[in-house]
Amino acid sequence: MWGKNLKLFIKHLANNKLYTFITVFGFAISLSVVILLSFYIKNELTVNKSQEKRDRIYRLSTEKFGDFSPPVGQWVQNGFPEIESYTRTYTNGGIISRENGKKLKTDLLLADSTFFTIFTFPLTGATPQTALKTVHSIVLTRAMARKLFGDESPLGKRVMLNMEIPCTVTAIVDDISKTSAFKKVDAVINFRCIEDMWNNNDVLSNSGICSFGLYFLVKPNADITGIEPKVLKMFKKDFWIYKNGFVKEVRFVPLSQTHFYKIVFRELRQTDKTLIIVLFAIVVIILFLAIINYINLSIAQSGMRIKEIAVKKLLGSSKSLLITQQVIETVMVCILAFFIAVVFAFLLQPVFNSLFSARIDLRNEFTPAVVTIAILLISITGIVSGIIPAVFITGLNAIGVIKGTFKRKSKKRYSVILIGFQYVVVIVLLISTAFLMRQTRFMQNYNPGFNTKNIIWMTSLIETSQESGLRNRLLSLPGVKRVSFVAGSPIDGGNNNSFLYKGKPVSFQAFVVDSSFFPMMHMKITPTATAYSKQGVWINRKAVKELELDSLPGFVPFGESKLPLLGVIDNFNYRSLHEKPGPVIIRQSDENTNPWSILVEVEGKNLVSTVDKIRETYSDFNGGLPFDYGFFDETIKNWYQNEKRTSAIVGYFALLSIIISVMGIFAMSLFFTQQKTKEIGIRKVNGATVSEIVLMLNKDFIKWVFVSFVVAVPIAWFAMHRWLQNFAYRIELSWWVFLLAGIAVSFIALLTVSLQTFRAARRNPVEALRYE
Amino acid sequence: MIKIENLVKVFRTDEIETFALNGVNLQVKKGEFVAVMGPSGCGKSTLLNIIGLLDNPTKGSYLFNGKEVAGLKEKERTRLRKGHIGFVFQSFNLIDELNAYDNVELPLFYLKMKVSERRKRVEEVLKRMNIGHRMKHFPQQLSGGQQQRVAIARAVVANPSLILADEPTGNLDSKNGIEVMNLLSELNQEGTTIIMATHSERDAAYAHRTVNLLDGEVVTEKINRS
Repeated sequence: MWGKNLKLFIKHLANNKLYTFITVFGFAISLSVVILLSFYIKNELTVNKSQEKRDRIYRLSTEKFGDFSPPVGQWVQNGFPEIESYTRTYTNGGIISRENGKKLKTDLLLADSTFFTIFTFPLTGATPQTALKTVHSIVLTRAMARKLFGDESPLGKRVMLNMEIPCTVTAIVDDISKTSAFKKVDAVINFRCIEDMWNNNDVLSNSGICSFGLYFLVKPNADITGIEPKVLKMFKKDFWIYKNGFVKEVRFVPLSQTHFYKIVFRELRQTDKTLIIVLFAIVVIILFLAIINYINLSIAQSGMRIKEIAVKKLLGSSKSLLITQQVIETVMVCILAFFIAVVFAFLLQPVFNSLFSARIDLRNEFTPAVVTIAILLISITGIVSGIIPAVFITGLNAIGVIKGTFKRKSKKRYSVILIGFQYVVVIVLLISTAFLMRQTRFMQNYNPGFNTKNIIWMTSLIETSQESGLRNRLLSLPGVKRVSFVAGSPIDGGNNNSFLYKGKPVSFQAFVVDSSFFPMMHMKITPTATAYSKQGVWINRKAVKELELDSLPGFVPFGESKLPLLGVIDNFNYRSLHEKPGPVIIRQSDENTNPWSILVEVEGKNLVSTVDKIRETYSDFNGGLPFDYGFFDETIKNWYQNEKRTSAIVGYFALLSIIISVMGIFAMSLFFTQQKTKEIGIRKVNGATVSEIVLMLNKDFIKWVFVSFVVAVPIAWFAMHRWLQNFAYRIELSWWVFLLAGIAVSFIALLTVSLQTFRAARRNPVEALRYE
Repeated sequence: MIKIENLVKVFRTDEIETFALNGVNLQVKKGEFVAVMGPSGCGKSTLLNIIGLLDNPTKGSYLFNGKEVAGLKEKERTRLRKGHIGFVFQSFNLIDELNAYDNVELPLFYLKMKVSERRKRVEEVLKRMNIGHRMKHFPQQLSGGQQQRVAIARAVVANPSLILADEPTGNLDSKNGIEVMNLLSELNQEGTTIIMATHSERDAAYAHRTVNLLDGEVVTEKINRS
């Protein structure tokens, strides 16, 4: 009996291919997104789950930034018995090579010897206590070890760091970013090695260099709650950034919160928690809409099976048996949709990972336990989706159906509300996508106040004595217009110089540049009357305002000094447009300057070959070391990767919500045109044309879109208005974008609905009206 | 007014072919009242559908007011039907969501008549059908007889030259049935041509002529009265 029922059901699906396709495909698409998002959310929320001491690890932070100077960790440990140990962290690029072997550009994490005793990362070749014991210990990741050593064991072997610092490989570790929120690195090096890397013996004792992360491991059962005010009190006395009022708060951020924290912790991958909450809400909404649409579609399609059900009832089938049959069929459809969804999820995985900077690998996520739970959840979804249409269909008057006198009425208002809700979601997402893309494009194309065209930047890996030789060689290349050596440029923001001025803390970004810089940058400069000198500086208008100077002062007070001012530069954007530029000082380089960037302005048509020649020439000078380089305009565009990503995410969700809502309105239009079959026939008999019928039917659906539009506009406006407050420079919320979204949605709705209404309107009225 | 020659209508599915009409010949003069009788499945409704320009024959000729209309496209048939042919059905076929007034107004709405003119005509015809006091009522609120009178009002409101009635008294008791037949007779006396499909000899007696169909063919014709 069940076999026959199954055959009937499969036949019904095969005979209604469009319905089957929309139901199964719509469900599968929704489920595939739910699968990916669920794994993403799960991974983000449990990112530190492998860290055994996670409840005792805290990251130090201020209310503005998360960087501290090297001695701070020891101060706190000395002053507070609750602290068991600490580690400093710093991420930096470097070059690792074997003697007479490969040179590889690497991402390094510098950390204290306590790092592996605080954080849990399984090691091969050493214990957590010994892995970073000496200054020149290096722990390689498995992938980096393979790249450098192949199948050979790297343990105990020597490698060179930045061509000059010999290090010993003490251990191998798996990718630390897989079991923590740390960024992906290729090697972990003892923090104390920084003095060798920077060629500066004072770094570790210098409280002025606030550039490092700081983690504390507290003792078991220690009460950490009261520690912040005590540490703040100590800092206010001894630590200049608190003493001078640059920051006011001390925060011990639990490890579980660091991943979502609003302050930037440079060594970590961080995510906006709001995004996770929004994504979770999206998962729920998608599932809810998919279920609702399935119910609507099933009820709409019930007309095709009404006779089958009615006959079964008359021949003695109980209502509960019929309901069970219906529910089993729905569960089967859901399971089928689930398996298709899994295939879709695998196909979508690369796009998803790229959009969310995620590292989901579905092959590892689908454990037997997960598959079992998923099938259980899908079955529950199937039961929930199937029971309502089942009760509806089996509750019909069987005799009325057989006699053809049965009239089916629907509770239209529930369907209207559900369709309306879907369209509100679609309109809000479409409007948001449009504004996100416009704001991103606006920022990427904004004139930052300096020349961005045809300028290449390269990290400097040469000695200062080589600069003149390199400059001449580069200038001799066709297509090279200018070469500048700088310590700080508008695309890296320079160094920060902070001091007290009239009792008030001021914070400058400082660039140290040579004579080619200004001709390259085309900045708008108003010269002062001050005679030129090598000590002369330039400041921007913001600095003039901050220091409360005359518009064209002759000198500028800077810390303890008074520097001759050669000119005032119009403000330029050395950071993303999230912030307005702060005070800037530009100094002239001298023999003591260590420029970290080389800027090359190029011209002419053959840019690609010019760039190749520049790289070749530079490689001759730096011994073939791999180096970072890029174009100014591309680098600036990359400042807005997050925004670009967000607009892509919202765009994809808009697309998904359109697909789901199309499914919904298709179901509704199918249902209501079926309900109106007789009315259509009567109207046609009485003289209505096909177009008049189509207009009458479409009008009903389109007015829902209008109502949804009225509801959606204030929501979208509010959301976008809030989001745009994140940017110091922003676009207007143009009215035509809202209108365009409404028109687009109306068009989509009209297209979907017209498929049904046109078909219904073209039917012979004779078929609709019964005569005998 | 109506001249049908060798009319054939075949209904085809994947598996079977049904000759609903198999070479029907029929003429109806203007002002005539013709009853079409026959057992269930003989093709009465199919013949009325074709005469009413709701369907096209498979073969044969159909002249309506001297114009060949067999094989016309739907748009043309709708244009010809509008205002010229009224329909009365056994199951009334009123739109449940519209009240009596709105149901009757339908043909005039599709003739793009002005609102004031429509109001005048609808009220007039509802009054004539003795249903003016129920014009704001919905079909579910009317008795069978009242519903059929609304349906007749709708059929005549545009002053059509032809009314097609398919078993107009099939769902009515005898009292209401007689009332409806009297109405149709009145309309015929005023000049409206009526073709009525019926099982009822009593109803057929109202017609000038009865045509009997069997298996899609005209088998007999009988003059009832001149």
